[in-house]
Amino acid sequence: MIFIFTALYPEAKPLIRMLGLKKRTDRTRFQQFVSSDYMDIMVTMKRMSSDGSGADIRPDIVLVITGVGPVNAAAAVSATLTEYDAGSADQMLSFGTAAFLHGAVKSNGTAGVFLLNKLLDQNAGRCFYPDMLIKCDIPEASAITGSTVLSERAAAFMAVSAENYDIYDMEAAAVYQTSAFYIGPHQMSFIRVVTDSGISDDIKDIKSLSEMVAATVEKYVDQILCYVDKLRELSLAEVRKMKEPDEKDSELVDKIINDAHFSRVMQDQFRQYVKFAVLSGINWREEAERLYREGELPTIDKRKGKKVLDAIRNSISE
Amino acid sequence: MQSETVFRNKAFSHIYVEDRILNIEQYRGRAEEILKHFPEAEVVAIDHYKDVFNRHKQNYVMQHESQALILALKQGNFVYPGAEVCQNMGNKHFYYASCMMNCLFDCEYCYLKGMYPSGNMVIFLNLEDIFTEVLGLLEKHPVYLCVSYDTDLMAVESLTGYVKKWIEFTSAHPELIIEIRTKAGNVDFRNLLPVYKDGMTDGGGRVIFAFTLSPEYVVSHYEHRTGSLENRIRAVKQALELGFTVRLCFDPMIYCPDWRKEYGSMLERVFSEIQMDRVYDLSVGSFRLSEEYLKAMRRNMPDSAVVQYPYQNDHGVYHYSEKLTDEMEKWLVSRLAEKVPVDRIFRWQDQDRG
Repeated sequence: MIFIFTALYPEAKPLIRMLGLKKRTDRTRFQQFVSSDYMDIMVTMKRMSSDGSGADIRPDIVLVITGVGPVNAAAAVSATLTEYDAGSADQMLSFGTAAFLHGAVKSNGTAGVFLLNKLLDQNAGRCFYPDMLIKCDIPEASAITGSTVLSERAAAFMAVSAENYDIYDMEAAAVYQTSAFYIGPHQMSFIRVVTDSGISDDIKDIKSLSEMVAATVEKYVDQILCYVDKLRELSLAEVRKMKEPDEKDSELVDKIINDAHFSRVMQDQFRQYVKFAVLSGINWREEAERLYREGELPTIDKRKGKKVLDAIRNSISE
Repeated sequence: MQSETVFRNKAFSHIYVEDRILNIEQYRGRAEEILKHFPEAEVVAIDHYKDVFNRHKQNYVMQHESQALILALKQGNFVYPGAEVCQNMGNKHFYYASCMMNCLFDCEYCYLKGMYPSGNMVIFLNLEDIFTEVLGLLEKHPVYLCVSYDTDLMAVESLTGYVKKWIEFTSAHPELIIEIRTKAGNVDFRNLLPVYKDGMTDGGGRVIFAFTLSPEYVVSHYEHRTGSLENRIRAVKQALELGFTVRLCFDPMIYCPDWRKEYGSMLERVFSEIQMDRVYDLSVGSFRLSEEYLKAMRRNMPDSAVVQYPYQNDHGVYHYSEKLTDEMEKWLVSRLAEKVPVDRIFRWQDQDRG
C-alpha cells in the first residue's frame, strides 16, 4: 500500500486526478482520497466497519491532506498510519511545495521538483535521512522544516544562516519523525516542488496563490507519478517476499499438526521444517504421505508425535 | 533470494560524510580519494555516522541492494576480544579490529545481517587510532588480530588501501599476527607484493590471507557478489606463488542436499589446483550463529533457505544438529587430512573455549 501525504488540496489536485482517486466521504478529520476500485469494493462488499474506524481490506493507495505545518502533518500521518495499520511492505510519500533557499536548487531556477535526502527539523535542530533506494531523474536536495510560513525577509536571512540547505518547507521533518513510529527509513520518500522564494508579506489573493501552486505541481506530475509507480513495485516486491512459502501446503500442515498432537513448540518446529523444505525444493509431502500410509499418522499422543516430527526433520535436513 | 530491480540505486550511489571529516585536512584528503571513485555519487554531509547507521526499523536486505557508503571517524573501542563462535586458530590472545562495518558482498547467512541495524557500509578513516589501540595491547602480550571480520577488506582494497596499511603496521611489530579473511576472487596479489616483501623480513608468516572456500552450490545460492570458487582458487594460487601466507577456511560449512557431492567436487578442484603443502593451515567449522542474530535474519529474510534451516538452539547459539555437525565436519577433516597433516587443520569444536 502507498500512503501519500500533502499539506494542501491544490498540491494534491493533479495527483488525485491522474491517479483517479476518489474522496472518502466517511472521513471528516483529514480529507482522504483512495482508488476508485477500492471505493467500489467497499460499497459492494459492505465491509466497512460499523464504527468507521477502519476496514478489513486496504486500498492500494491513500492520499491524505494533512493541513499546513508540522503539528497538522504529524497528527494526520499518525492517524492515517494507525488507521490502515501501516506495515513492512508499505511505502510512504510526503509530497508538497517548498521555498528555495539557494545552492543546487537556485541554479535550477525558482521552480523545480526535488527528492529530499536530508531533513532538518529547525525547532529541534535534528537531522533525518530517508533511505535513497530508488533511481530516478528527480534531482536531490536537502530541506529545513520550519513551523512558520517563510516570508521573503526570512528567506533572505535563511540564505545566510542555513547555507547548507537547499529548500524550506513546513512538514517534511515532522512527517519523517511521525512515520518513524510505524515504518522504517526505507519506506519513506519526500518530494517537493519549489514554487517560490518566500511569500510576500502583503499577499492577499489566496485564490491565485492556490492556482499557481496547482499549476506548478501540474508541470511535474508525470515525474511524480513515475516515482509513485516505483514505490508500488517496491511495495509489491516486499509483499511477495513476505508471503509464506508454505501457504499452499497449509491445509496438510494443519492436518498433520492436529493428527500428530504437536505441542505449541513442536508446531513451530514443524512449520520451520516445512518452510525450509519448500524454500529448498525438498518434497516433504512424500515423507508425510509415507507416515500416513504406514500408520505412523495419526498418532495417539504427543509422544508419538515427536517421532513423526523427527522423521520429517530427518527427511528434509539430514 | 536476491531481488534486484532495475529502478533501484546502485551500490554507493549515495555517500554520507561526517562533517568533522570535512573539517580535518588529513581525513578530508582520504575522503576525497574515496569520493573520486564515485564521481556520480550524491554526497550528503552528516553530523555523526550513527544518525544514518543506527536509525530505527531499517531493512538490512533492502538497504544492502542499494548500499550507501558512510565515511566516518570511529570513537571508543576499536579492538575487541574474539567471540566464542569464532575460530582462534590456537592463538591465546585473539582479537578482532573493526575498521569498517558491513561488507560489499552479500552472503545470505552472514552474521552481519543480524548484528548490524543497517545494510549500509561504514569506512572509518582514522585507521591510525586503531593502530594506537593495538600498540597498547602489544605492550601487554602478543596479539593475534583478525582485521577483516566485520567486513571484507580485500573487496574494497582499491578504495581504502587498508590491507597495505595493515601489512606495513604488522611488519613493524613482531609480536603481532594478523588475519585478513576474504571471499574475494578478483585479488591481484602483485599489487601487495612491494609492501609485503619490504616489510616482512621474517618471512611474512605474520600476515595471513584467509580465503573462505565454498562449493559452487553454496557460492551461487548464498554467497552473492562474492568471487566464484574458480576465482578464489586462482587468487589462492597466485598468493602462494608470490610467497604470501595463505589459510584456507572451510568455514562455515553450509548444509545443502547432497553436501558430500558438493564439498567433494570442491575439494577435488582445490587439491588439483592448489599445492596443499604450501598452505599455512586450514580451518573447518559448520554454520553457527547467535540466537539474537538469527531471529533478526529470519524476520528480514523469510525467503532464504539457509536462514530458515531448522537449526538447533543450544545456550543461545543456533547450529546444525550434533549428528549432522559431526558428520559434515569429520568428513571434511578426514578428506583434508589426506593432503595436509592433521595438526594444521583447526576444527572450531576442538578449540579451547575456556
